[in-house]
Formats: sequence, structure tokens, C-alpha cells
Amino acid sequence: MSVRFLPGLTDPDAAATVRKHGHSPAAAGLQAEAVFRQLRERLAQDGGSVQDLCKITMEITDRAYRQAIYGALGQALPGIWPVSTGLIVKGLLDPDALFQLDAYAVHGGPHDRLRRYQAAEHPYGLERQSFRMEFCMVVRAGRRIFLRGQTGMSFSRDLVHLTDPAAQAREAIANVQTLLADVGATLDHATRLVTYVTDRAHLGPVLDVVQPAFANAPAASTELVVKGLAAPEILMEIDVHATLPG
Amino acid sequence: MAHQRFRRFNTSMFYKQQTVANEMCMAVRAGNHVFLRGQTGFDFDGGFTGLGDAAAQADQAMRNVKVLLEEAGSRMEHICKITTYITDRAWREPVYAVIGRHLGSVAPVGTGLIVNGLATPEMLVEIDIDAVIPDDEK
Repeated sequence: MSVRFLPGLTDPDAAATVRKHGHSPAAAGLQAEAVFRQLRERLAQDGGSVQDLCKITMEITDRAYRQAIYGALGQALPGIWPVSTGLIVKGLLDPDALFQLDAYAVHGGPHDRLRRYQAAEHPYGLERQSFRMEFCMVVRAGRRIFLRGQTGMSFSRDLVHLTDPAAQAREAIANVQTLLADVGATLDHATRLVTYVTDRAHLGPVLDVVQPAFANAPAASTELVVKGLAAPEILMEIDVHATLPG
Repeated sequence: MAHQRFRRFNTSMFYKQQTVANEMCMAVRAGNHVFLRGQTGFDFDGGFTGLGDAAAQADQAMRNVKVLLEEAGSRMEHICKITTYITDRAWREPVYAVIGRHLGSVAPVGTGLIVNGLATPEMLVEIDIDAVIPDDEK
């Protein structure tokens, strides 16, 4: 069962969209529609199916575009239940691109998808968001495990410790352990770890919580300072990839 | 078989201005899939190449990638996905020129992001690599 990498999807006509609508939520929404059309086409190639989709990372250049882009996502991918990570980034390589998608798929979908939720019924940080999209918290595709990006939001859906990045990191690690256990894995099976923080000042306190959790079985890690995460009060997020041993 | 983890190191070697001191590693091999830690202008001894020069940092990063892949039983030709993080759009052309030189005819899928920062302020570029060793080369 092989992983398909679908990174760096942007609207090929991004320049035209921006010329017509400026850098606006409307332009971002149109670009997102083009990206998701492209994603569906790619997933259907080579005997694949849209049900193969496991994880998406949404990279958005301005928080003001989030609702429009996630709205397009909900329209484009109903009933798939992927896991997701959402980033607000300083920029994309194409200055006209307002949105970029990275995706992972594994042949043989729909795969095991646990802790499903509807985005509109789920607070992000302190607020609710009005788009409709069906997500889940963990996908197991054969031996590969994909987790939703984890933050200080507990599964009871409260954001803990609003201004304390280390406390948010402790919650995120506890969530990761719970989700891995759901699919019969532990932190010892982690392969890749990406740590996002919204301010360089948070990096030390967050890494001092996150990295020791992987001390027994270090993952290949990357640390990034991004412009924002799903909500302004979310100060850190971790993406963990894992593989069950063969 | 348990995953193999290569070149364990202590993060204090790189993050000298921070209190962070944790045991991490540079590469993980899970079956035929190789994951590399994000590579930068840092060499494996904690030396830094290319202060203020994103292209020189990218060159060091790609040299590291080659070493790490080969230690894990893989090679440059097995690279499937490359993620390039830069801190300013101005680094796009010089960095991609260097990466292209190292990749040669290897044609991975890729993605690029402009981020507000990397782990230390002198880092202008970071490169994440995923490689898969073909079944007939295991």
C-alpha cells in the first residue's frame, strides 16, 4: 500500500483570479475551488479514488481568507473525513497564490477514520467557524498513520491555557498519545514531527515539552515559525506522522 | 522490525541561544520509507555555513541530505517529496537554483512555503525530504 504525495497544489490561474478580484476572500475562494478540482482529478488517477485521501495541510496567506477557502473545501470533499492541519503563512512562492494545499493519499481507501467531527460544530480556539466540512482526528491506512495537527485544544473541545504555549504543548502531546493509542501505536512509532509556533519566543518552551516526549524514539523533526494557526489564541501545533512496524 | 533512527544528537548543539536540549535524530527509516529532519545551513558538527546567504545554506542542506540518505540505505534518486521553507520570497530563485543543481534529473514532487521564521534567526532556508527505497533495491 503506497503513499501518494500531492504537495504544492495551487491554482494555475491564480494571477488571473487576483487581477479580477484583487487579494480578497472572493479570489481565495475561487483559487481554492480550482485547487480542490485539481486534487480530485489527481486522486482519481492511476486507479486511485478520492476516498484514498488521508491528510491535507491548508496553507493560507491571510486569516481573512479562511472561511472562503474552508467553505470551498467542504463543498469539494463531502463524506471523505480526512485529517487536516491549517496554517496561516507569510507567503507562497507564487505571489498571486493565496492558498496552497499539500495532501497525502494511500491507495485502497476509505481507510480507518476515527473520532470524526463536523467542523461547524467544533470550536477552533475561542470561536466557532461557520463552514461545513467533515474531518476526523486520525486516519490509519495500512501501516501508515496520519493525525490531525494537535494543539492545546482538548478532545472535550476546550482550548486550555490561552496564553501559555508550553501548557498548550502538553495538551497537544497528550492528544497525540491518545490518538496513536486509538490505532494501536505509540510515540515509538513516530517518523516525522513538525512543530509550528506563532512566535519565535514560544519555540523554546514548546520544544522543551514536545521533544522529550520523543526522546526514546526521536522523529525526523522540523521547527517552523508561522504567521498563524487555526485561531489567534492557538500558539502552537504539532504534526506527527507514524508508521506501524511491518 | 523497529524503525531505524540515525545520527541521534542533542539539540543544544544547534540551538545555542535557547535552553532547548533534547535528544533528536537526523533520519528515520520505517520499512522502505526514509524521513529526514529538516536540513539547513548547519552541518552535523554544529557549524553553520552561509550567514546571510540563502544559496550557500541550501547547498549545505542538500549536501547533508545526500549523506543522510546514503547512511539510511537510500540515495538522491529515491527522493519523492521535497518541501522548501524560506523566510523571504527573495530567496526563491537562488535557493531553487541550488536545489535543482543537487537534484539533477531526479524529479520529485515538491512544495514551497514562505514562513516567518525557522528555528534560529540565521536560518534562511530549510529543506524537508521524504524518500522511498524501491522494492527491488531493498
